[in-house]
Amino acid sequence: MLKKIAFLLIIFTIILSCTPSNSYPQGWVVTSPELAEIIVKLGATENIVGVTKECDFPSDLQNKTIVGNFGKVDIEKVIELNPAKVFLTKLEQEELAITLEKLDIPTFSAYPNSIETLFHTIEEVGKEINRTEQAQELVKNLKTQLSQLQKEQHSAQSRVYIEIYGEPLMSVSDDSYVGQLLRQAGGKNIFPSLPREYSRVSPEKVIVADPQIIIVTYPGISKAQIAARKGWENISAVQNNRIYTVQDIDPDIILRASPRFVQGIKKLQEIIYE
Amino acid sequence: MNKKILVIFFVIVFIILSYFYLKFQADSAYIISQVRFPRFLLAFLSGFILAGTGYTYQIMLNNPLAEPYILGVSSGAAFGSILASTLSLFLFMPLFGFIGGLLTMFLVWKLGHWGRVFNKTRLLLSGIIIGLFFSALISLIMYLNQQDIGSIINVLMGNLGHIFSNLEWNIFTGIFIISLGLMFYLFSLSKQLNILVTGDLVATSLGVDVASLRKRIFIISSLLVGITVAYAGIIGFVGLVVPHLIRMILGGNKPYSIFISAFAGAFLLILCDFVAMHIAVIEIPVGTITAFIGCPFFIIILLKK
Repeated sequence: MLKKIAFLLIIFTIILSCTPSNSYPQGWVVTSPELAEIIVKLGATENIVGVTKECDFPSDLQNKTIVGNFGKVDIEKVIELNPAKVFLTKLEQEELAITLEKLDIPTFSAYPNSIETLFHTIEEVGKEINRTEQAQELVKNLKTQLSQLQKEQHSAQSRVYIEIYGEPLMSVSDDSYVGQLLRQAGGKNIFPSLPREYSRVSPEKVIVADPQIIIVTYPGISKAQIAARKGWENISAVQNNRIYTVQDIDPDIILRASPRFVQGIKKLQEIIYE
Repeated sequence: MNKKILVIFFVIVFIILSYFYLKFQADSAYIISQVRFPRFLLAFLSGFILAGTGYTYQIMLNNPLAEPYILGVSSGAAFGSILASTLSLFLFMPLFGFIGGLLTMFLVWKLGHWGRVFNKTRLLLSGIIIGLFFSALISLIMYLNQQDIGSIINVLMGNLGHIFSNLEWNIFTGIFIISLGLMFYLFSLSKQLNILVTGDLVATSLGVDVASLRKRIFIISSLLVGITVAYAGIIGFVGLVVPHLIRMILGGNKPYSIFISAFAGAFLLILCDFVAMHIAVIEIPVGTITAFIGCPFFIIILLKK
């Protein structure tokens, strides 16, 4: 009898100690590199308590607690940080969002897939983190810079091939975010329409389209290696040595939908009008 | 007479298929010579090797379930390729793949001959276990490197659209010729191989050096399988289904069966790759097409017999 009572008491104590801590949730965990850049730009860096490995701009974000990488967020670390909100990438981190909702952790998801939706996302994030005015200011500022850049566009357009992956070859369509930046920069995408925004392409089509500029946005491949591909030697870009790799252009400024997109367009213009 | 007509018919269909494979929707002769032809050769070689070695394995192991990938070499080679791709060494994928296949081959052979006694079942089981081990490693790499999923899927589901550099192409033509040579050597062994079906004891009494024959076949087949996986990834069903089909059509093991099986494999793979390239707006992994075409066809033949 005594044993039973002792046992029940122990169980009872364990259950009681399992109740959630009463401390008030504070700060934000950001798993989306795009949203991290926006939050920093809106001047709220100090409220970020945790990030993923991919949130590497600005670089001092990596001094915060790392909660895993983009595809594999360590949910226990997130809970430990007790955040008031988690900022995620829509679609790609949907599963994580659902898990967090089950745990009653508030989330905010966004996936800007165009310059227009990026502006919208900035304003929404502004509302979310109580920096509405700064957000509106930033959007206004970015819009002015964008129209400034559009004025600098030349009429002659170069044919551009953007390679986002090499095994298999993958490129971007005009509808994709990267494709839009390219168009804003005055480049003519050799793959205006593809079955998906980011899609597999055939090397034959690249050779036939004869791009004047080739931009590679993934590491591990050099200009010489691209030029040495069988059948590529007659492509204008190869002949005129106009292949650009990650050494020439930081891929994040064109791949990430962040306030740095203006720099991305500027860099693309430099390449196209070189 | 009947057989002659069959062979001529097969050759004509093969030529027509090759013509369409090279010509269909190709915009210029340049594209054909620079992109389509290399792909054609790779598809030919892969199908040729897979169906040929599949046939030899089925006889050597005396097991109808045997196929070129059963002794683990493919998983080892795939692991090598995938490792190279996650290290961003895309250009070294074939080399890493080949080395991975080679290491697996030695491992499986040593395990199969532990204690200096050969045991068919042990060789088979070691192959399967080592294959499973490498598959687990591949799964782990996949889990940790989700950004490279595209190239990993290419290796695991087969991709004949390997982009050659000019230097690599020269190496490949050399490999192509050597592989054909090795395949013909395998063909030349087929008479002895067919005796092996009767059992080691009978074969030895008929003057076949069983141990040496088995070793030669194992090493050559593994090298060849390693080469295809290194360049084209793992393409299923060709190596399992084609030898059975040929055996069903010809009735039993004939001295020239391996040769015909290899050609039929090349034919099937070229056909499947043609479908894979053109059936959808984007290319479909060729491994899925071989399964889609191979399985129903095989079932029909099986039921008719």
